[in-house]
Amino acid sequence: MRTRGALGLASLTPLVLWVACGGAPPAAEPAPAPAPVTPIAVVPPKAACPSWAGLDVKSLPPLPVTSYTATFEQVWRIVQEKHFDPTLGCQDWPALRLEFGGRLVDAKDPAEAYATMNALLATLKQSHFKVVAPGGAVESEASGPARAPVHVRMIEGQLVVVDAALGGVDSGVPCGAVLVAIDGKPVAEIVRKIEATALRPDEVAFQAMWAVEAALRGAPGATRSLRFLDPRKKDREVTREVTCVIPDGEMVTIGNLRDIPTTVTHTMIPGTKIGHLAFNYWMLPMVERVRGAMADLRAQGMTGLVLDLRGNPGGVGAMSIPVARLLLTKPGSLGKLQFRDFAQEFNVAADPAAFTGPVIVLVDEGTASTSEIFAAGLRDLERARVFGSRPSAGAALPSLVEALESGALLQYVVGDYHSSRGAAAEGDGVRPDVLVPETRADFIAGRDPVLEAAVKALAASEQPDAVLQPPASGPAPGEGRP
Amino acid sequence: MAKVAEKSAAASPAVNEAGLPDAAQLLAASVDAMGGAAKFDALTSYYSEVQVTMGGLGLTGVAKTWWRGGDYYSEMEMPGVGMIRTGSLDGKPWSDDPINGVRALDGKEAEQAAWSMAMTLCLAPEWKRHFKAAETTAVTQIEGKQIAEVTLTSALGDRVVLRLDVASKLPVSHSFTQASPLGDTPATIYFKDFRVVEGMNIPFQQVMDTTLTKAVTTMTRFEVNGPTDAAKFAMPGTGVDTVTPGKLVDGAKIDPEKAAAAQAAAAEKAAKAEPSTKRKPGKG
Repeated sequence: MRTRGALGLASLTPLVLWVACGGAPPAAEPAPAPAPVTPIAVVPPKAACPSWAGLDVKSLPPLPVTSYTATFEQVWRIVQEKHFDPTLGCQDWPALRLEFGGRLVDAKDPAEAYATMNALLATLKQSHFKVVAPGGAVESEASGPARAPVHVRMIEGQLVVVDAALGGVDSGVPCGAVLVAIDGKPVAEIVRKIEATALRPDEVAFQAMWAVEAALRGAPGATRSLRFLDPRKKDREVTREVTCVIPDGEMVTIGNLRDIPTTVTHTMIPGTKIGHLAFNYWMLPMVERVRGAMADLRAQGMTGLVLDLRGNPGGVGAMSIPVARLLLTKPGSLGKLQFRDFAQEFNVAADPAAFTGPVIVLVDEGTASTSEIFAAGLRDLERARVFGSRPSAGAALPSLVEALESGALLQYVVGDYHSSRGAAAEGDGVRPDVLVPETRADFIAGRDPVLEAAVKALAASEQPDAVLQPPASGPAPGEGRP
Repeated sequence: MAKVAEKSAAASPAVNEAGLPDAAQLLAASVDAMGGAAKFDALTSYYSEVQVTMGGLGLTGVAKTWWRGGDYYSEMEMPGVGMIRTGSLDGKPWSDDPINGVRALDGKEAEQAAWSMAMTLCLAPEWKRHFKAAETTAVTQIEGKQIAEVTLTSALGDRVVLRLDVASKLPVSHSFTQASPLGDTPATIYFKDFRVVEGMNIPFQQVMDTTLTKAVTTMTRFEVNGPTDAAKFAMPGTGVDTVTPGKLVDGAKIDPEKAAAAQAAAAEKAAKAEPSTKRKPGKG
């Protein structure tokens, strides 16, 4: 009779699936840098690959004993048991255990040991793999819940400040400034390091953004010394001490993921009936705020919606369902999740009262995971077009975040995702239907060309006989990657 | 786990065509081991509280359940997730969760809701109410114990494999595929820590294994035959979802006036919900 408490949980498996990348901070600060996301160019035929599902781990040879071996074994074992692909990308997983487990002997400190564990995970060449030491302090000395109040993106090969304030605190660094160094450390070094491991240009932009975000973190009240090219001074180098502030937003904690600052913003584009809605994570407690925003915009007579998912790294995948339902008067699927032993579908029930006007979803290199699933899924349902300056992050695999016995946190992939038309967001990301170039000059001038293009398209769709049709798949004719 | 069909191992004298112990007799013996049918027949209502933890994932919650003569209401608030509710009145089950909203259950989901919240523990005492057939499909050895597997088949063909300890006759686990709008999830629930309450032998701990995750539920409170609030059992009628015609709702519950009123109320509620921040658009 008391089965129901547990039984209900079985149907809610998606609740625990964390589909986020980069900006999804496990309990410890700082957020781990995103794992490399690289498309697997050559995948041997699965039939030729051994499955590790039935591996008798008791038959494996022991590893050299170190302070980190038990954690390493747990990491290795969880991946062996839970990854959706029992061949683990056709890799010799037992051999990798011996190779990387043996390297722990040479680890001089926790940082090196956890780097070795992450190197093991990196052999899988997928997003959403990361192990963070207890407390997370090995990643950066500059860890903390606050950060310098600027947002930086890679524009035209430079790290450009695209948001000069955070939480109402102006950094004093102007939009369009090119970041040169943080606390004396050249950001070019960060980029070079990423370029050495990333395979795709868009991946460099994604990872560079998160690496800089991590470097900008600190304790509340701490300062970061930012050196930048100041467009107001003919690009003369300027150094400014910037105080770290706590990001604004309602803090949400789910399981091992603590104090995630969540924001939902909305407005009607001045002079139009086009609504702009943005949120920075996918967390279930945010749904009511999104509903409230939609209700407010609709009450104002919204005729078209820009759903801005730029910089949104994902979150709890299941939130995509109630949000999609705000836009679907017919039932549909946002895509399929394939786990090792079963499959699930992001089925969205119809809501006859849903918004029926045209929708454009905005993406950038920081749009990852659940955001990509949502964008790809809604496009496949022909309910939205996707605008952006470049493809999204290409990191869209369902994962779990689990506390290990040592107190370390492990994020690991458990599922594969494909949209209803079979597209995989992992690797290539979601390619915009309409690519809108962004330049540093745009940000200096305070322009947002991607949003402007979306608003223009939606406004045009309000004209008589105009139809905003999404393409069947891929970029529209005449529109390609930059 | 090696399957061993041991024809001679059954304690019960009757065997089926496969030479395995008769399922009906096994189930009856299990009911006796759990306190006897009379004890369960005497149970008219209960209230329980269950602590739910999902292992290393750090998710926890407390599930509270009110049950009365087949009607029930259960709720669990899970931080970071929200309120998960299920209920049933007059045999019409419903659920409300942050993903799918409020909806009436039908088909396999409704069947599972009925048997999962059945008054009787682990399906044995009331299996005939929820399943059309029971068959012993194997006797296995698990960790040195002889375990009988009884496959229960519902009217819609859904199957639940109930495992009984041949020696103690107590339930060990049951396996099934949990139906949901997102698909079927294989699950096994293990029963542990049996304690006697009002003459009924009840597992105070259950472990649900869904291959990806494990949820441990530990009962912390159990009160029988007390008063219950009947108003809890009905499907909530204040949300848009509950009055949306179509798949989500039992057609009999649809009332155009109520629908309009509820939609207006829901829109008002959404508008009053903690407002999202209005701001100038753009990331620049």
